[in-house]
Amino acid sequence: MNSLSKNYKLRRNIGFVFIALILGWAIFTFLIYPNLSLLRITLFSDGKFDVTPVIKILSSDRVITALKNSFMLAVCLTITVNVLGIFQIFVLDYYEIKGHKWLNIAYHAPLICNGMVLVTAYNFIFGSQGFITANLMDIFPNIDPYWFRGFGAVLIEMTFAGTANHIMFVRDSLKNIDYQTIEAAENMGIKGRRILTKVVLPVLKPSIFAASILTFIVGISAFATPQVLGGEEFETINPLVMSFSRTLTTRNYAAVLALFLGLITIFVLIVTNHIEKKGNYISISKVKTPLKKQKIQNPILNCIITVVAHIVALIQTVPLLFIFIFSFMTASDLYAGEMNISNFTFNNYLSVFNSTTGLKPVFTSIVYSGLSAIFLVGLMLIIARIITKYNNKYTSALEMFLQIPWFLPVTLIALGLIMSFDRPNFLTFGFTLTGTVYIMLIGYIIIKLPYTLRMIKAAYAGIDNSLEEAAKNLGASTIKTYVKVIFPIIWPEVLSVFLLNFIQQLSEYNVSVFLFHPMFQPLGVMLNAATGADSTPESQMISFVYSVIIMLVSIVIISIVYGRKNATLKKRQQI
Amino acid sequence: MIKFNNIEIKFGDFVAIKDLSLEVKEGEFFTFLGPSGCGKTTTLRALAGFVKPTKGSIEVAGEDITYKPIEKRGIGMVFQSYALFPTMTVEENITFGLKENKWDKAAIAAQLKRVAEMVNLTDEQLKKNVSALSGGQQQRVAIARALALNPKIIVLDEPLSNLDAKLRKSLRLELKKIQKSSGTTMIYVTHDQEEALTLSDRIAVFNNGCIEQIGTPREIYYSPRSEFVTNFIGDTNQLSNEVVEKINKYNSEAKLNPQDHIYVRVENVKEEGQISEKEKYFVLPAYFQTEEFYGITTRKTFNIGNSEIKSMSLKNDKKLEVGAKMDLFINPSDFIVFKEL
Repeated sequence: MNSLSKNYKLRRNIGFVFIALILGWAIFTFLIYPNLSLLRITLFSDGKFDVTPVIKILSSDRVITALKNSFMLAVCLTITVNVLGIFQIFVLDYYEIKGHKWLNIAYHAPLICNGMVLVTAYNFIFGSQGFITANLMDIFPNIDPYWFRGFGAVLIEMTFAGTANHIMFVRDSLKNIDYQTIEAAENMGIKGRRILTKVVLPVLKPSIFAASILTFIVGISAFATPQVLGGEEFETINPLVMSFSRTLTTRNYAAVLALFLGLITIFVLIVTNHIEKKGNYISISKVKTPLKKQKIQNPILNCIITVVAHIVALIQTVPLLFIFIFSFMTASDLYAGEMNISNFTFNNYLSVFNSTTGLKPVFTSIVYSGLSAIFLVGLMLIIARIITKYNNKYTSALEMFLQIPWFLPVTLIALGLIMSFDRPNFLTFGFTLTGTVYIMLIGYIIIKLPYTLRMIKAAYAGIDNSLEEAAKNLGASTIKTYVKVIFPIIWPEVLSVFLLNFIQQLSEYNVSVFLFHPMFQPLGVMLNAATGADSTPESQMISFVYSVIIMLVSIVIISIVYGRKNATLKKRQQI
Repeated sequence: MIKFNNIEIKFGDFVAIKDLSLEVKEGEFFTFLGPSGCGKTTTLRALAGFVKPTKGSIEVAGEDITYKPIEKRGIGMVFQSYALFPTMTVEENITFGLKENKWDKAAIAAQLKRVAEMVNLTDEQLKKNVSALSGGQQQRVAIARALALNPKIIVLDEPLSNLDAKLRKSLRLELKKIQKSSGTTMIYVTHDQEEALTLSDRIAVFNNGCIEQIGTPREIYYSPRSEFVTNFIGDTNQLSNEVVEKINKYNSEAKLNPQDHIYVRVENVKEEGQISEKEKYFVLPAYFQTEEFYGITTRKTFNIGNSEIKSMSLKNDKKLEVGAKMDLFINPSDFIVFKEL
């Protein structure tokens, strides 16, 4: 081996050691150490092993009920979201249903209006002081103002908010089905519903399974919705964790609960992964034929499905419309349940845009979401590149560690950060992070690590290795090959991931509520505060303006991302 | 020009190339021919620098390039998938290497014009994105890109395998012309014997990480040195013991050893009317079974007891009934015999 090659290897090895040291520190400090800290706080009191908090928690009826509620919600939500999501994708892409364009727009609503924005909308439409409730009480004075509360309300809201995974991922699987497999089944004399159950649904199984896991995790760690719509009769774990974490004396109880939640999530993931490995379906089609829509032959069934499809579309879009209208109303009209167009005003908008305090949450959220999205994309461009290029036990371990946040409820992550870095720590070079402006940014980055890694890794995996070899063969260095050949190819996907991360963090609540700096409250926290009993009419009206801003930004970004995706698909089809 | 000296290439415990030595002359069109997994692409990639040999060395014009960085080898490459950069236009693809090697603008423009003319790409096509071109046009771009840097050597990894049969034939001819006019040494990898025989000055037949035979197309075809080469090149009958014994039985002067491995090419199995001097041939009674019509040629299958033998002829005037008895004729000089060790 000549000296040139030796020098190159030496430089490369030094580079790897340097990157490995930084990654090792970051992974241990922010992904492993906080969880170990929680364990220490839970099981050790004053340096001694002590399981009193665990026993106390387990003997509390309130906690056991909350655990049962969370589990029940997760199971029911997985079922309802799958039923609704699968119905939606079949209405959009498998059956010929009238009003496809409108349905397509309406079913994308959960991408635009979700999380804290949708909870706020449901609260101000159906809540005790909600617009619809006020109108119902005019007609039925004896109606319970808290009629939309408890398990049912939480399940309905979360079901209609939870179909985003089906619209984004399961739908792609349905579109990718080779139509010739359906024709082959028809050729063998199989018809209608049998084709659906025997040919189409088995192919969708892996993506439905993945969506189910994600939905289960959302259900078990539900936070804002049960907090706002659950009421006292339906309490789940995360709001309880939040309330325990507020006082020093009960913080260890919060830690125990968060760990419980984490263990349940990990257990469910292990079980589901085991089931998933038993049966997986990969398309072996050599030449795929695009899916053709099927006509529902039975006219009555066709009519019923069409009506239900449009009702679902209305349910998903009405909250968006209400938020938009509410943002122009006065507080008195809203509470009275009167939609008086002559009283419509821009005052709510002026309150936000004419004052620095009004705009501050918008800027705060934009800065945090933007910075975390930039950092995530930048970091994952390097890490995903290393993982795809060097497939060995070290990169497998690196990937596994970066998936940790996927398995943990966000409350556990947030609590771990707060409790681990509330005093000077050698891992943070003597700095205290809790209470600073940095800790929420760290939280935002951690919770989006697995998703960003997965998407950017998939983008790299789609690149033909010979492109890189060709560039090198033509004299380009490694860096130039990356900049001029590799990056321009993955750029559209990277931009999509950046934008989707950005909008998802814009109304983030679950991590923000634990980690926000009092001087810089993000939009999610402001929206939640507006639903509280102690909120002022002004803050409630302003929350609609915040919601409209979030929705508008989301609409623009979703249009860019999906417009680009559809344009690319059309271009490919033309070629 | 190019020398592979006792090359060994390992992937983990798997030995892909075993003690391979080979010399390619300047200006030669040299083909690595062999079935999938025989090591021909690995050897090619070792020359281009994408694979490092575990033993041995590679020399180009007397210089040891075994560990020389890829970008400094000055070897052009045409990939099986073409490897055209999808975000660039045809022109940007072709001039990519020139820009990376800091050619000045005027030289780049002149070189672009020269190679575009060589591969018949129009000005309009040069402005297009590569994804807007057909497979054949994309292949021309890939060749132009490899030619642009005026490399002394160009390596081509199954460059025509993604094209349809007709286009493959026409591009094959053009490739040969380009090679002759540019004087570039080309090393071509293929599993297609027809491609290898028509294009190459010399061929190396690969099998199991080793070279079975190196020679001109005619040497390889007419004088195969191993059973593998005999079977891999051309359409060949391996005679069963039953057939060998029948030849010995019907031809008193035939002294074929049934223990030997005896082959005869299908075109050397003749029917009556296809030969002039019958006495120079061994006769073999056979029963007609099936025929495959290829237009110019016809291949027939005959039964001899429980064995089969195939023939190929240019004319197909005779319509034979299945089971019809007829005599086949084989010139003793056409037997390819490998003695049992």
